[in-house]
Amino acid sequence: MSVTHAAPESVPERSEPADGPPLMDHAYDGIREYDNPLPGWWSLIFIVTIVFAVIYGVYFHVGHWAKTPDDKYQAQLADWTEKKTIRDQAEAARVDEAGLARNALDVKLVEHGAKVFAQKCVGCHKEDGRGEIGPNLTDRFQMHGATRMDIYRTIRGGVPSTAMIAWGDQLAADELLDVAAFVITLRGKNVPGKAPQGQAVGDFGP
Amino acid sequence: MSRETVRYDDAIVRKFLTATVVWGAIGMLVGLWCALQLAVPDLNIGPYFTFGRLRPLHTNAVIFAFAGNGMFAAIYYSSQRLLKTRALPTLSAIHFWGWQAIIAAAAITLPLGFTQAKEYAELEWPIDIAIAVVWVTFAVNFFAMLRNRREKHMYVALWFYIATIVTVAVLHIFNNLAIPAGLFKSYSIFAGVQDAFMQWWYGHNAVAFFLTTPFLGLMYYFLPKAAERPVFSYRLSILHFWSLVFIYIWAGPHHLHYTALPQWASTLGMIFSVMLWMPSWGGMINGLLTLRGAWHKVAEEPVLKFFVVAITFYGMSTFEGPMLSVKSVNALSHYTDWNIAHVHGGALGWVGFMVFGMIYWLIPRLYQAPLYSKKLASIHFWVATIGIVLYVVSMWAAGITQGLMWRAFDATGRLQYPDFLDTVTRLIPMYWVRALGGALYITGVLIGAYNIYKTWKARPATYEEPEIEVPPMIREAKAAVKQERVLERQAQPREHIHRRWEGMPMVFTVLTVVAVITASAFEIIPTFLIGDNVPKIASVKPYTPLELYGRDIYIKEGCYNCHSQMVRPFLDETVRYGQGGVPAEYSKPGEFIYDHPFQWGSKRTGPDLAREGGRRDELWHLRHMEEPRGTSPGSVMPAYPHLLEDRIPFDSLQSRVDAMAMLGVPYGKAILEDATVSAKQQAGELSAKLVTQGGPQGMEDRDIIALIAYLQRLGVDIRQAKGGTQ
Repeated sequence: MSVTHAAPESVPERSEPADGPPLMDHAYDGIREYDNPLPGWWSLIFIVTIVFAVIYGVYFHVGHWAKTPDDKYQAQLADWTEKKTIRDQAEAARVDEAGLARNALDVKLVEHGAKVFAQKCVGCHKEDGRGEIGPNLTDRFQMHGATRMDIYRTIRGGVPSTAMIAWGDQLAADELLDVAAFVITLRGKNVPGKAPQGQAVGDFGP
Repeated sequence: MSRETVRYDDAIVRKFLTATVVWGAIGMLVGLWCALQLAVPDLNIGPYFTFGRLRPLHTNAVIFAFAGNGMFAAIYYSSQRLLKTRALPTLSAIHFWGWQAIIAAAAITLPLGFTQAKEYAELEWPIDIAIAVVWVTFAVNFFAMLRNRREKHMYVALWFYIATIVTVAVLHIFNNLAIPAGLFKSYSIFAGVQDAFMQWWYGHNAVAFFLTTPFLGLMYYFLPKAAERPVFSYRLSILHFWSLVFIYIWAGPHHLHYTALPQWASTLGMIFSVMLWMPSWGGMINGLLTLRGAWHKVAEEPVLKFFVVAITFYGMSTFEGPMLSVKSVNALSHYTDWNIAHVHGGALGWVGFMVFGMIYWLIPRLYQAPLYSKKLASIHFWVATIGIVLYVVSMWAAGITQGLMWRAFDATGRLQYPDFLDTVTRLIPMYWVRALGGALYITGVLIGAYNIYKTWKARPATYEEPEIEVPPMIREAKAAVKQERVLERQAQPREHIHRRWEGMPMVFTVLTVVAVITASAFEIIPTFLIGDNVPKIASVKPYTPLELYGRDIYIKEGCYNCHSQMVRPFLDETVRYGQGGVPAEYSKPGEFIYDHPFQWGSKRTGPDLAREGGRRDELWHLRHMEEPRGTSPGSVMPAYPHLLEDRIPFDSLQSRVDAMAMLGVPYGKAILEDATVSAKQQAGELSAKLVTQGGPQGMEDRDIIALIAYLQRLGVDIRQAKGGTQ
């Protein structure tokens, strides 16, 4: 294998050939180095980034002229809270006991509700509603209240400290109504599953 | 002057080279396995081969085994020649075998779940000590070469090697400071915000000084060798070396934008990252422009093809990095696969292709036989290049898709994708493309390994080790040199100041250390000293012994690889991780003061868990750990049924609590005297609760209870603080 021999070192450090870039006189294991000037665009961008860094730092942390992430967040939160209030009122205006009773008889709505149930609810209540982590939905017992509206409210608002999250944040208004309609139809199917929990409530009222 | 001779030790280079290829193939195959696990969760084979345990094995193997051994091969080959001296054979052997033993220990302990849970610093304390010892051995060997050099000035490659050796030592030691609580269990001495800061100071500079500077050194030696052209610009090399070394060190906090890290630190991380763009590109320019006048060779020569693509990826990654460090971009990209795309562009493109370019140049020289097949080398190049493109593009798409899905609200203020799972299942097709890209890359590596093997087969019976005629050692010629200098000074203008440093390795090393330490100190000292950075929250209390052990399970299973514990001050996050229609409090620095180590995570393959406590009942957690797809259809999480079987080692709790107490966690007298009483009581209460929820009996001594206790604690303390003030 060829290995170059040491070239004796000499000062001056750089020679300036007429037909090419300046070449450093040293060689390391045969490797030579040109001494080309720094590309102009490189120096320029480097300086611009440094200037940007200084301005950015001063603007945000010396002058405190910009909004902080918390300022921005609080503004967004206020805006969101307003929207949520409007949504809550709109959804509340659409639902009552009689409406839920009607919905539970509408095959199309119940079918749609069953689809939502199959996507979101079967993890805890199982595909036929017999329950596992969550209660059995097919018996005549209810843990939170007794009416159809109580079922809707439980779905929408959830149950604190349980896997029953507030589905009002997850599902659109129609999905909430339809999945409630579907759950209402499960009452009394008595699929063998999780033992009854809550109070015996019988069938729904008129 | 009498003529002296030296023989270079190429046997050590051959050893490191073989290790590079073997460990590289293994590390990348583990990576492919991890990639497939995200598309096919059944490939998680518990308890030892789940994603949470294999991903650290993948990252450690490719960083420390593949890139590490590759870097050592490059350094031993080039430094001996640049300094015209032989490496010390005993130290080289200790370095080689010690390093391989460390890698083997990593390959065994990580699947066993022995981990510090800090990314790329997972290895437990006994292995950390071994790493420090072997690294120092390497350093002594290297500095002995500098001392015994027969070339007065150091070439730019050696500057980069010096920066690597001293900085990696500093990073490794400080980030791994920990209190042992057993042979393979320790707690970081830092907590929360400070631990996060130290970890990403380390993590980012591991990228800088383990995956960048040594490979720039490699480039400066092997590229001009292969191209047979002079390096483009000596003065550019000076400028980009010093600016890179000084600026890189500041950039770590860009991994922690919008977290509980103080804003000023985050800003420093960002602006220094932006300033780092051109220093990085200085290296790229010096690489690519060195090829001026040699481009026709690139078409012929696979070595140069690898180098050109590697340097191009370096340029791309070092533009992408500063871009991702800009806070508003980071708000979208952080915790997503965009980061995965970014690191693999650097790892597969820059590091991988530099290594393979070097290998193809080296093997005919090391094995003293012509390369078996140039054509196969070209095929390796093309297959691997296509592999990288598929990998990076699919992960860009996945990252941006998920980031946009997380933040999407509809007009009524409802999250468009409130179910986290929807944002995961959407990515599965992209995970398949990524796996294909990775498989192609590995195919290339295996083709390369075959090519190397065939070349090795054709080696001569004994390797020729030529004697090289060299000038005397600089230190022995010192007197003569001094004399010469006096004459020089009289006859010639003095050397430029940097040129003089190049002739003084110790001065050069000290200056490098000063650059690195100064920059670090500017960030580290205020982070630790200014109390305002971490305002105390009265309701934040230490974990109970049972929760502490549950946290150790969380650490052991590597949950942090997929789950963050950091709600950023963004509406989509506080709404997503809120409860009962009320947005969560975003994460505050004071919440983490007992978190040794911090568990903020860097990727959300699963949802954030900072506000998990009280979101679900205990039975849900139990069923979810047992079979995630039962409770969460479509989930890609591994199943952990062994947690329902394994018993809580109650007798180990005291040493865990005591180690935390040593770190200043204020436990009461009762717990310090007997931690098991409290743990058994809490476990009993929780398992009774499970039964009332319809769960199984007899869980009071199982690991699952401790893990549930921990998960149910997350975010609870700060909620009490909020309740108290209202």
